[in-house]
Amino acid sequence: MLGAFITCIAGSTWAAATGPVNLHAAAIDDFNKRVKAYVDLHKKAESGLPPLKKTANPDEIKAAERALGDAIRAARANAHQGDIFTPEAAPILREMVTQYYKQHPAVSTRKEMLDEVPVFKPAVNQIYPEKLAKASMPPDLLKTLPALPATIVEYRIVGTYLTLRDVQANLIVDFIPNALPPAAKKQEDKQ
Amino acid sequence: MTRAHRLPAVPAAILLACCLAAMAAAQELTLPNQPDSVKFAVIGDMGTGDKPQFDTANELAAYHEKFPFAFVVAVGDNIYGSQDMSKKFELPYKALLDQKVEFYAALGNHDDQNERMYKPFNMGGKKYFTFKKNNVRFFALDSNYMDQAQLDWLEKELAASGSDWKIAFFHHPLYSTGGTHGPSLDLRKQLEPLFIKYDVSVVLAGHEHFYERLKPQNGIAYFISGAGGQLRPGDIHQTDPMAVGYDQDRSFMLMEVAGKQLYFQAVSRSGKTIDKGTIAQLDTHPGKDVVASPGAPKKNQPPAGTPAPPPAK
Repeated sequence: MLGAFITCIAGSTWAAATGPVNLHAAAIDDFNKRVKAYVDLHKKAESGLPPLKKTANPDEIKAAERALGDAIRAARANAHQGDIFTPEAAPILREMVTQYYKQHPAVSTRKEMLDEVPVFKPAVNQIYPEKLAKASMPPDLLKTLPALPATIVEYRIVGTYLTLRDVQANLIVDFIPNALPPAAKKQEDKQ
Repeated sequence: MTRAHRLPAVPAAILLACCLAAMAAAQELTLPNQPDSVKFAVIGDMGTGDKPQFDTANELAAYHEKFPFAFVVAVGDNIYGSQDMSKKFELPYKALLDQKVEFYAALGNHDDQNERMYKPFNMGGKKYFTFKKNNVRFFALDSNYMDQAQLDWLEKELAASGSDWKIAFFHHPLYSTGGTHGPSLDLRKQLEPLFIKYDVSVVLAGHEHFYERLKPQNGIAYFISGAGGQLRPGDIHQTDPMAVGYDQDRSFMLMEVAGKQLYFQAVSRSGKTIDKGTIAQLDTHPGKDVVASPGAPKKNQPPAGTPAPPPAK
């Protein structure tokens, strides 16, 4: 799917303006490597903690989540926006999101997109606010974006941001600003 | 002096008898309640910790006395906001938990994914999972994040499930006439072909804060049971493909699978039946299942003989 997308946009004005296909492939390849490096860091942080077991005590689950988050934050204390969504990869992923919504113009789809999308300004290493819902990700968009090991990290839409979120530690790992189309921006402005 | 104090004195025993009689009248079980059937309940969007959740949970427990379901399927938004499991799950459903009724939860958009580690939700540490009860195979999906890995897993599990009844449950409805959300079209595009290919009979969802039964789509029965705690009064649009809808109070569902028949009953917070019917599992595809329900095809119109629901608040 990703290959088809890159081939598809290679002939477009956008692709012509931003560079040849192999550069896009290289940027996505680099993104995937950075995701893998993050997953390795996550696993290393996890290995230094008592294993989280299935439990009837929710406090144990929350404590494990916080401990993992703390360990990851400590290991990534100098992390910045763009470390994983690099300046080379971000415009490609942003274009994937744009293309998805262009291909799904139905009002109902836009409604789905905006339905309960949480609105806040994300920051790297921030805990995803516990009280806010998580916007469901459109399956077709997930098919377009580079696949993630979703038991550890996932894409989530926050306002007009595309974020990378650590599922187990509930942390914002990285984000791309202005990734969502203007309808989402209008919604964000209202709130 | 309060109004209650001005009421004539009535012996407690008489009051209790009156209350029990009223409850019995409200709790009309329409399911066959056969000894060896698979009996379960369905709730969704319940985890608020507020009074309506407790009321609905109490009614569910009251029905359990008559219809001893072994487990409850929760279609997501199990816990809203902070993970106060005590207030939002353990206390409301204490009567059921004390009687060893199991809960199987799917994740909603308000749920913390780490709920998968919470033992009473029986998720086995997974965001999506499957389990079997006699001749019924259940598929709990994470509709918040339907990526290729989950779709591949689902297809593999469906293919391996043989001739069992197949019931899928997840949060976002593929069909809905709700004004606030409506159907999840993108999700439908991915899941419906699999459901048809592998003979899924029943799909249970929440997200919409009401009860709705849709007209069968491609031989599949779709239900929304998303008013276990939350409610969005007046949100159902009386349009196709709604068969029966109820958005005037909280509700839950009871289901019973006996051989090739699945019986369902939807019940309001006050214990009144708001929908009921039967689904027959046929042997061949297509059109394998036929929904034959006596339910009136109108919004907020319970079947004949059912007391009128309470007025909108």
